[in-house]
Amino acid sequence: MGGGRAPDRGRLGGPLRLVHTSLTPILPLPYSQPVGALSLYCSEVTPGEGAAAMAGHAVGALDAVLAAVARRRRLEAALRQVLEGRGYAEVAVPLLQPAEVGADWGTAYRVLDQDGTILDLRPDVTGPVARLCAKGDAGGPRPRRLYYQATIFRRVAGEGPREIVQAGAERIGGASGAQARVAADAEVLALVAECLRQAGAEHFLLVLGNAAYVQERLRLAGVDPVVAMAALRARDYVGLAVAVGGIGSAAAGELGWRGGIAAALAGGIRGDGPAANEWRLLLAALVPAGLGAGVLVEPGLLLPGSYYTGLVFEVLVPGAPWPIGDGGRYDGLLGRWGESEPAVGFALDCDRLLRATDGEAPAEWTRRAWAAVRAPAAEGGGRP
Amino acid sequence: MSAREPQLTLALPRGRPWASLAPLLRRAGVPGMEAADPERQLVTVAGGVRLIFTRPADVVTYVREGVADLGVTGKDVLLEDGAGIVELLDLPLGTWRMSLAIRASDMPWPQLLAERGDALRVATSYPVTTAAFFAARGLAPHVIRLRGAVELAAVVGLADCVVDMVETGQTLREHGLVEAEVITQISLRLVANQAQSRFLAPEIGGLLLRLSEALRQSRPAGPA
Repeated sequence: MGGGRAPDRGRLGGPLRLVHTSLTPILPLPYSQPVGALSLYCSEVTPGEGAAAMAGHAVGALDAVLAAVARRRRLEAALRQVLEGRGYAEVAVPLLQPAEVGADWGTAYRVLDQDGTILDLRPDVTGPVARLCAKGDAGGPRPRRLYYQATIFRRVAGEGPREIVQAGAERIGGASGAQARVAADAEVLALVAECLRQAGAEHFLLVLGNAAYVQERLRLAGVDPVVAMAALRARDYVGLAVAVGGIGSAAAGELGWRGGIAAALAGGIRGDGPAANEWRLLLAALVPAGLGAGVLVEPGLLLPGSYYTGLVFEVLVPGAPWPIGDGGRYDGLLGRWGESEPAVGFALDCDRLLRATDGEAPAEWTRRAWAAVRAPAAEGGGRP
Repeated sequence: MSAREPQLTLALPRGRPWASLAPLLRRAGVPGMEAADPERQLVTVAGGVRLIFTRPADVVTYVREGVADLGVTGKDVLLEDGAGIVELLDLPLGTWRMSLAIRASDMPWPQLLAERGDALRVATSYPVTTAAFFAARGLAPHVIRLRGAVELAAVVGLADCVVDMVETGQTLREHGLVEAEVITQISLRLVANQAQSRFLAPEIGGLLLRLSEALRQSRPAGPA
């Protein structure tokens, strides 16, 4: 608090009263990347202020004032209650990280310290938490159940947010067999669902993929996984078709399939390999956990990060055009700094979650969208 | 105009892509196409479909932010700014390519590249694609971003070469330039919003099937 830049009424274009600045300008330093493009003051604008209030700010960094801050604080409190109620302990990691510690370090804003050491503004919290655990500094019994609420910074294309408030959790360590992995994955998915409910998201969709299954199927099809998986991470199904031998190929059909859990178990998931079998075990475990209706299985879903080794998922809420969270299993990440341990986690984008649950989406649209996704999910079927 | 609430919103490109795209959309039975006029309209609604017309480079923004469920734009645009959307279908309707061109009066391209190296100045409206093209060769030349008419940069000496879209090569020749390398072939792509590709799967799937069939019908018969 305090020490932040005084509000500039002329530039902000309205009688704004700044009541909170969570970050003071802490980086009066030389830089090798456009850190000067960052606003370190704020990240949301009061509803109704619109584009005029953005004047004077970097792209992707907006003010948070008055009601917007209050709503964010209520969300943080609700999520904290869920996470701590499930036995997760809060962890805080530094904003400034050694270079390439972030799991998505390729998107990091990079700065120079006084002595020339390269530092990253954390592009995610998963990487720093994994490093913390790998170094043996996290303490506590295994599995470690840790959660966080933190601001991250990412260089992204277009006009999207560079400064993102995340709430997330990581479950690290413990037994490493298939049954243990399935139990841990199911625990995290159930935790995501509970967080969404407590955040006010009445309807949501967990879209599930599996990086190990994709690799398994590509290997069996004799396809070079590098190009095909790059296409899947980019959501480029044209590139995927080229990589796997055409849109009519078996691999394109398998990885382009989507459907609900019942349809996935009835043949949507192909083969008898270890990844396929483990994924079936997980899907079967989700139904008694009460997650069956809110799951869409997409065998071709991958996330941009290349460190995922098994389950991946993203969270959709009708009315929000972008995923409001994602996560997955990253059993190899701790190995960058120490001994590999099984690990799975998720992160929710708090601002997107707030926008998705603030009632802006027309009720009729939400109802129709939900009905539309439920129908093919129940029946199973191909990708549009 | 239909009183029915639009079930799908498509962002479509104005300008050069429209001429080749419009016949395909008509053959696919996209409502509203008979009266569509991107040069005079911003939005038209018919038969449960809303069409919005914008610059090809802006189609991605409308789709990514969910204002449009689907869009059509060039792969050149997606190479620059295609993150956060889903690329569903190739629409090979033209013979576009992204190429590097030099002055016809200059030394041959391999020699120019070898002599200038990282000192090369490249003018383009596609800085991301251009930087990636040279990075693959271990080079980081000075990329000059221009908003259009990049041939001028080579003609008046702002740049040693240009990277731009080429169809017939006629424009390059008229300005004393020659095509030195083809960087990649370019076609139009059907793209979708990440969330709507799941929530509106039936509607999008139906359109996808109609477009695929229209494309199949428009292709010349292959050898027996």
